Amino acid sequence: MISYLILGVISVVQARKYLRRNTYTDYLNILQSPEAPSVSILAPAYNEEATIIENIRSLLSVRYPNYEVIVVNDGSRDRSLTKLIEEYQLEPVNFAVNYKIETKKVKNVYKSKDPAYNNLVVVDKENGGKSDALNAALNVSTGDYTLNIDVDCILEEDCLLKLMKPFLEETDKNMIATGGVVRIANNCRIEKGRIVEVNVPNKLLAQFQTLEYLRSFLLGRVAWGSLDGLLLISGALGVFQKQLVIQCGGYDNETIGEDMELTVRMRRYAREKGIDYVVGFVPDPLCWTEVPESWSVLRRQRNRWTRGAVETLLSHKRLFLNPFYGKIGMVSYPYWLLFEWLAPLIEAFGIVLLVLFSLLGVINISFLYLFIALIYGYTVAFTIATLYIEEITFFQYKKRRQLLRLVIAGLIEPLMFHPFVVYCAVTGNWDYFFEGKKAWGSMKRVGFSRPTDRGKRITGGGKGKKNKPNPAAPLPSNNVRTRPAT
Amino acid sequence: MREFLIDIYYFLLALEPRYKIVIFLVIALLISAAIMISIVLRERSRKNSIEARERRIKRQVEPIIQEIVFTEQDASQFKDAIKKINRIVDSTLYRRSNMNILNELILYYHRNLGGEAFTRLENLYREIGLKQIALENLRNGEWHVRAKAINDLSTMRMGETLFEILQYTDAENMHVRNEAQYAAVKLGGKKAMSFLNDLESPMSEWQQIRLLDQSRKFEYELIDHIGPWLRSKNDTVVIFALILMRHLNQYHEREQLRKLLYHRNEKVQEKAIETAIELAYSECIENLYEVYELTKNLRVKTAVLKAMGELGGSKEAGHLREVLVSGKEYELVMAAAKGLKRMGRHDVLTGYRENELSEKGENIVKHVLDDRI
Repeated sequence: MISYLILGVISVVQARKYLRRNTYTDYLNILQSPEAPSVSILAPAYNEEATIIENIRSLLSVRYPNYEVIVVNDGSRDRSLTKLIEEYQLEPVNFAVNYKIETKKVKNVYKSKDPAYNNLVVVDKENGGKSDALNAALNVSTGDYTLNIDVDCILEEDCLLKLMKPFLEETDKNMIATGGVVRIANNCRIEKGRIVEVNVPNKLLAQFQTLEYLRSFLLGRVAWGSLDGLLLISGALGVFQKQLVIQCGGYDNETIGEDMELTVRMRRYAREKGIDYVVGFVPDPLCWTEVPESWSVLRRQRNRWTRGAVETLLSHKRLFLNPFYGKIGMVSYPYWLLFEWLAPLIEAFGIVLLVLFSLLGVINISFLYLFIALIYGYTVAFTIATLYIEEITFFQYKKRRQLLRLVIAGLIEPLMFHPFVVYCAVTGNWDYFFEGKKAWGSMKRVGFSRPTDRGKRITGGGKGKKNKPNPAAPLPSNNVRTRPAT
Repeated sequence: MREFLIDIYYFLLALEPRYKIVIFLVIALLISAAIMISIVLRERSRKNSIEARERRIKRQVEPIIQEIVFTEQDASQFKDAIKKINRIVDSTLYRRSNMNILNELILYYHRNLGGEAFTRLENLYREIGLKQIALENLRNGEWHVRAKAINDLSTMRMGETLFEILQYTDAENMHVRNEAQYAAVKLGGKKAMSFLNDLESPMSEWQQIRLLDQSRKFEYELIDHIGPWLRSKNDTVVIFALILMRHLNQYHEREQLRKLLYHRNEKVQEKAIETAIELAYSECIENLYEVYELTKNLRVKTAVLKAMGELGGSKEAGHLREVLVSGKEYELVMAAAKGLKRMGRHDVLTGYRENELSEKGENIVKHVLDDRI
């Protein structure tokens, strides 16, 4: 409880500081500058034919002076590539791919005949999974920095400007990566690939996740970012220093949680090489994504996140309480281990014991009820505090009715959503350790369960993908979140 | 009701201490949640009332500002207009907040207008007292208030405040310092850039970009200080001077580039090479060979090859060909091939004996010769 409170306080201070700084920030200077560093936007796509054209258009309209968009068709079985070729008048070119990182075979690299799309590169390769696609994009990219995104996310127009600012502002240390806040797009009104009206999702399940994302990004990651203890830059939105990513060997093909794994590996590498580095975080809402509105899709997603987190934590166990790695070894890693991995297991075990002891009559039932009420009270109070912080900082949910819906969801969440998340985390651990599910398999990414009409309001979603909100997100109560949705 | 409460009181009193503690905590948490909700709702009402006030002030003030900006007015009309605005924003409780609204409105107009309208808005800004408020904020505010005040003063081109602003160009707080440097360049032109002479704090790339953006608005003229800046102990000042040289065509100090090619900081080396290319400083070509041999940094090596392609002749074409044939790193081979293409040496790029080039080299040549990429 205390740790969440501390993180909450740090977040508020940081968010306010950020907002104060941005009251007079003018991004026009960099927008017009020939000195702006080059950025490659890496967008892996698998079976995204329903939305790919609109999404790429959205990426091509990002405000930044010096960037390229690299779309990797990761062996899609649908018409994703054909649609891209037709829409953007693509033709294969003699691109000499620099295989700095080993990937599945690149069949072709396409460029557009239309000079208006001069900064678009489409890579067609054999299916190898998200990590492999990202590595292929890295091999083709020419930018100094890479913005890694999920192709179906909606970016804010100024997203890249804001994410690059910490890199350009840092003078003392080597900024190796920055992440940004991912928000939920369900029920938001979208026009021409941009969010024009922010709404609270209609479905209760998505509302729970809205609260979870708020806690996770607004409180957790902002605080960890300011403490330079972030262990996860979401796969949905993160800028990385390309050279370092390549030196680290790129994305790990064998892991499920490739985003967290890369962040941890980069930090570890930088530390081992004596690089005085820092990882930044921008508290602004920069990216919007759909969250699952069905329990079964959510269960699969959370199960996968759990396995990803466990896998990463185990593969970097050397960090645990290792003073050589500084804050990540002494604080972030143990925090993750305890709160993101073990907490749900301990909680589930505790619940089983409580039930058992209650049946055996060895527990004072009235005190147990009181204790449950205490946890419930804390969870609710923490959620309301999150809404308050949102209110005084970024203030996205402007209608009073929306706020009340979130409050009501906050009252129900500890009783419905939280136990479900605990259950998913337990099954995720079971699947990892006893069923041997340690990888995505060859067809890793699932994509939207239904096509999304980007010209309208997103009324449902169902992707069981990426976008984990922050791991180290303050979870109310004895909360259990594995890694809140990236 | 009273009896009910008394019953509860005695019930609680009779409980064990641990029960009392937990009950107290639960009640405290629920009460805090309720209080926070009420604060949020109150905050919303406050925001709504501010927005309403803002709309009202804008509705009333905008026509007056437009009249000042777009029509010829004599001194008395101008005074009347100011009185009218003062009456609108005057309020015992909200004067400060109203002045902020007015400030933002004038800044907005200033950003979107030019010419005579510009000057009239600046007069209005002074006369209405906003300049004075900004100066007070600059002297007494917290860091963010000071930074904003400097930003406002420079946006409104309050040149008379330059000397006061110059005092902050090496301020401890980075944000105040950055705003002051930017304002100095904006208000004082290249002469005000003399703060770079003895700047000790590092300049971020962000700040360099901002200052460059302002500097590019200068009319072309030689910047005398560039020499000392290139010799500065502060590497970020050296880098910025190189950027200025490149973008403002400051040829007069290009002899110094030769020395900077051997700078201990690889970023400076890279920028010096880029500047040499931009200023067509081919006299340094022999030094570039040395740099190529001495450095292990791939980026610097790549920059050297690029420079050879841009500045070199047939000797350099030979060197590039050598790298193309025997280079191991993709980046170097690519840079060599691009260099040859830039030289127009398609004959070298295509005239290879069979098996002389590796598969990688051949692919790179095809890549470079493909104009669609």
